[in-house]
Amino acid sequence: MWLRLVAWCMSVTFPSTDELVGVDRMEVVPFLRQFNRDTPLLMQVALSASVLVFLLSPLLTIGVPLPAPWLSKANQQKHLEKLAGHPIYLLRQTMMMIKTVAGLLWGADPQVRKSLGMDPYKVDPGSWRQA
Amino acid sequence: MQAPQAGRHFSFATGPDVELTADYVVVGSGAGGAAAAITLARAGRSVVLCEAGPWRDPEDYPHTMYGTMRDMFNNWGSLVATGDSIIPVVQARLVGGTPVINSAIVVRTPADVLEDWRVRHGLGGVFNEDTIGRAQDRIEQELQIQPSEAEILGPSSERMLQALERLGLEGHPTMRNVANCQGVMQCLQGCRNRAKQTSNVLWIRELLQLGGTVLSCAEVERVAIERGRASGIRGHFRHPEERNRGAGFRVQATRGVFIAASATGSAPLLQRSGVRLPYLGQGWRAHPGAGVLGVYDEHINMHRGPSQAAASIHYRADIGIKLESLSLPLELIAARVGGAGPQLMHKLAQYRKTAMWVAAVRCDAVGSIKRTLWGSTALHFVPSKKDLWRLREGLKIVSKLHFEVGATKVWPGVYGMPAEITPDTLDLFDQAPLDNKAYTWVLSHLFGGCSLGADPATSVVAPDLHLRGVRNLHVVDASAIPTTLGVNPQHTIMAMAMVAAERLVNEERP
Ligand SMILES: Cc1cc2nc3c(=O)[nH]c(=O)nc-3n(C[C@H](O)[C@H](O)[C@H](O)COP(=O)(O)OP(=O)(O)OC[C@H]3O[C@@H](n4cnc5c(N)ncnc54)[C@H](O)[C@@H]3O)c2cc1C
Repeated sequence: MWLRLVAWCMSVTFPSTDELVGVDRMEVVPFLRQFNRDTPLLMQVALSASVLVFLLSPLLTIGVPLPAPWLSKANQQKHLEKLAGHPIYLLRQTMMMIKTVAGLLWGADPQVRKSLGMDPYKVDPGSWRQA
Repeated sequence: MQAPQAGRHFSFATGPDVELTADYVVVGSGAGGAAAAITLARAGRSVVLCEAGPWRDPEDYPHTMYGTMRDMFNNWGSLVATGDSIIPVVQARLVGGTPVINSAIVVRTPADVLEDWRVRHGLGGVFNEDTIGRAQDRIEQELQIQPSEAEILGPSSERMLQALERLGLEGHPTMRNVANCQGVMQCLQGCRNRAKQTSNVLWIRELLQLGGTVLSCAEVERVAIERGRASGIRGHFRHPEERNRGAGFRVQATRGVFIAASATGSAPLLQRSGVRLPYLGQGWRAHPGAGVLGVYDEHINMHRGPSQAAASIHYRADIGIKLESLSLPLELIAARVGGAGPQLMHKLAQYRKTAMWVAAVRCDAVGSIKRTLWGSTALHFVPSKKDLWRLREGLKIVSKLHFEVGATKVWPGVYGMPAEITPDTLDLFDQAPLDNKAYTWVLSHLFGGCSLGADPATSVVAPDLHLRGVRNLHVVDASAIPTTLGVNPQHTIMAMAMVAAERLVNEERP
């Protein structure tokens, strides 16, 4: 459930448009599972805290006392933009965190890279010298 | 205790502890550690090199930024400097250290820096134009330092050089430690094409051939200090993926211990080892940087060319900034582009029409670093108002350069400024807030924490290269540098480490 909420936040931050495929068309939950396996706890806590702020802060951004998923599409959009440029530093840093992590998924996606005329990435070997 | 091990590499293991003896042990295999280790080994000394990260060869290097952060960055780049804002600190954790992921720019130590060290820090007898110059000559030959070639500069760097020329400003293709660079913008990922001449592919292999020992995935936890003398180190292997602890290791060093765990690693390691010097962890400095994205009508394709092939030191002396092109991979650009939702996507769709150029600031600010009670690292660094002014000037100059060569607008990425600046609104930079929280800085050139110097009140390592109060303990990385440099630091760090190692070998008692 929580991972789905995180995935939702990332998807509204990077939505598909006429110009580009967004995170909403990507396998976000498996990516997040992998992210949780690979990253130090601090990163996971920072991402979760950022998502929590994103979900619960519409009152602070657009004055609507509802969690972000319950907002109308138009209000969600306003909430996103206000949060990304919020006068309170720590609030706008939460969007930075979400964008940084979602960017790792989005920018490596083969469809995105193709539509921007870039070669797809090969698979990371993840290997190292053991002896 | 086992006999000295020659020419061996130990990686993560869970079996019995590894116990070794050598003349010298070196902690950290980055710019400083690798240079010191190879110098000691070439002088015929037995050396054990301990590196916290794994040993990855170019075929092991990742393609993606996700893989780079996972496999090469120290803790995913999650260390941040705090104070009145949060500034990410990027460093590597693998055999070869941060040079494996850096842009390979090589700049000689400026004469004014050496003069300042002589006058204010009493270091002229050890580090001077002669000693550093000779070491840098050697490094340049061994690492095949050469200017970025015109054919591979890449469109972003080409434009930057054109812009600098048109405005009559100093500009040059960067000198880099690369051979046969094909300009595929893989510098941050380590360069799978093997163009980058880093120590994991050169000096550390040579170290093995000379009979040295390398411990990788081997995090040193303590330096053993007995009766005022460093006698070795101990630690545990750590799995690079699972992060679980493996076997222990101990190295007894009969002649000396060299610390080169970086400006974020060395001071906390010495604190953990019981060193209590008042200036340990103090005097921490940096060249943080921030960039502006220029948006052009035509494709720029910043994903072609090396990450950083153009630079200018025009404003190094008066403002205290260095200008550089810096091509960022698509994955990292999203965090740098303002906005969210469809607005963000529209900007990202223009990736190929953008070019990122940065200003790196030679900050006056002095911070501190320490190990916390929980064993983590706390880094305090707050750029001063003057530093912020320098950055703001730098961003304005970089924007002007973009406009000079056809950018229709720039995305300054500064909170409190419009999201887009056009040539007509360039002067709005003068009103940008002088507030750290308004800028997206990144810290990558770091100095201090174990500063060298003659004055015990402002240094940790004496000019005789021994840690104050502890014989046979030496620091040979960025943490020993007592000032900022105003240029990219790796050449200075490598040269200082070589000079220090050579000198200590020459001074050995029989
Ligand atoms: C993205 C980026 C780009 C850069 N580009 C350039 C450039 O183009 N030119 C330039 O001159 N400089 C550049 N720099 C800076 C330069 O790479 C560093 O200044 C330099 O590598 C610092 O050298 P060092 O020996 O102090 O530390 P590092 O090179 O960071 O090496 C320290 C090593 O010690 C290891 N270590 C830490 N703690 C322990 C422990 N307890 N036990 C064992 N091992 C440990 C680490 O894993 C690491 O491998 C860049 C830096 C970054 C992050």
